[in-house]
Amino acid sequence: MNDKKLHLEIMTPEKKVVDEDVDYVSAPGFKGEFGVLPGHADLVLLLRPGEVAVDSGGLISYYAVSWGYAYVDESSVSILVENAEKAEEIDAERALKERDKWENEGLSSLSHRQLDEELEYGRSVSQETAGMEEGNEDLIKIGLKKERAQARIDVAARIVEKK
Amino acid sequence: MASGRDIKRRITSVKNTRQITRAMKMVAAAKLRRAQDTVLGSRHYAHKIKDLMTRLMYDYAGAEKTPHPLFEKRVVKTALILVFSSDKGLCGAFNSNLFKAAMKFIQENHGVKFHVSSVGKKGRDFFRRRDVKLEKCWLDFSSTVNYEFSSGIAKEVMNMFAQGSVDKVYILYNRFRTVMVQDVILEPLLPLASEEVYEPSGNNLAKELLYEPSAEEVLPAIVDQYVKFQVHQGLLESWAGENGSRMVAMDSATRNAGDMMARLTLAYNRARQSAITKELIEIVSGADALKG
Repeated sequence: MNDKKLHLEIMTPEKKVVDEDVDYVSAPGFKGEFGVLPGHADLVLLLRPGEVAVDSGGLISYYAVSWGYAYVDESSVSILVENAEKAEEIDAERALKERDKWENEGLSSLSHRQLDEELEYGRSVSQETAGMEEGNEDLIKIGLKKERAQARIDVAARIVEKK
Repeated sequence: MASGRDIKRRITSVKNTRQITRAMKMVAAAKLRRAQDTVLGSRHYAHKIKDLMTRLMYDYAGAEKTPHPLFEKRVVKTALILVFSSDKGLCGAFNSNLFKAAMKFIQENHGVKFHVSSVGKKGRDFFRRRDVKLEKCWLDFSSTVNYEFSSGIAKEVMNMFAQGSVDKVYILYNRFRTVMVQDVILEPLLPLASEEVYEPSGNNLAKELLYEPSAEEVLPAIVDQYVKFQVHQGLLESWAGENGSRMVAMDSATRNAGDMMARLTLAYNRARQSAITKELIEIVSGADALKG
């Protein structure tokens, strides 16, 4: 193992969730899982709702995050997201209900496939400042919320697995 | 000298006032605690995102083509000031400090046509009577101090800038320092071009910044988030400041009412005593006259 450490910070607008030195971080990038070891090139990474895995001296912990981004440099990783929860703190049952709720809401106005496409499309344009239709935006929001709930379920399941 | 009854009436009135100011102080204190927690918690985030943004601005400072519409520097003919004021009064110099700073700034830059957008009624009321163009205002916001609300404001402001109706955007708010002290802050929000030189921390100046999936996709997301968050942070700071300011103002009002009551009670007792004395003298001298 490398003796260099990564300084990891996971922050939400409300609070700092994590602030510690770790060995390895994996984050849910838009194009797939993204792993960071110490000495990484400077990078800005767009995140989708999903799971952040942190390896600190062989001890692995998991976090569910909503969308946001990560700012990586040689010795630190800053993950800026709207929501982040440690796996142990997630209420899996509530997450399950939430996912179903958002799923239903999304389905009532669009088919499942369409929703996925909207989401894919939304990703590339959702952040353009001007010229977004309100309805469209709502759909993307619902989609992101659904994804987030799903991520929480998955992360919560990790704990059960471990036990 | 005022009669006993008049003084009594004044005491009751001061007492009522004190009750109200005391209740307002309590309410402000409760709100302040919540606001303070939020604002302190979000500062890390605000700093980090600002760091990142400063680096991006630095990276693009020399670029021929602006990477994003919000980076575009234009000759400033019209500027927007987004003012974070309060909906309600009775919060000391909270609002007037803001307005003083705004008017000073407007006078210093007389070549520029100023538009003002206000969050809070007080700001709207003040600038309605001034020589500025009033843009959209957000009123009755105290129950909606949340990210969604700030996002809405930010979106509106970004639209105005992107459409070219204003060339520069400033935000003006009270930054919460302590309960007693708020600093009036007036800072440029748009365009996203840093005026101060970026001081890279450590040796990452020469290093190129990579984007994943790509700069075209990452940049708009970050820019959007950054502007929204700057607005949000302004709102939170202002909200905490407003409640702090109100708490302090109401605390001293309560104390003053107490002092006033003590003084009035003293005056009342004196008046009562002299009235009694006078009556006694009258009775005694009346009795004397009868006897005689």
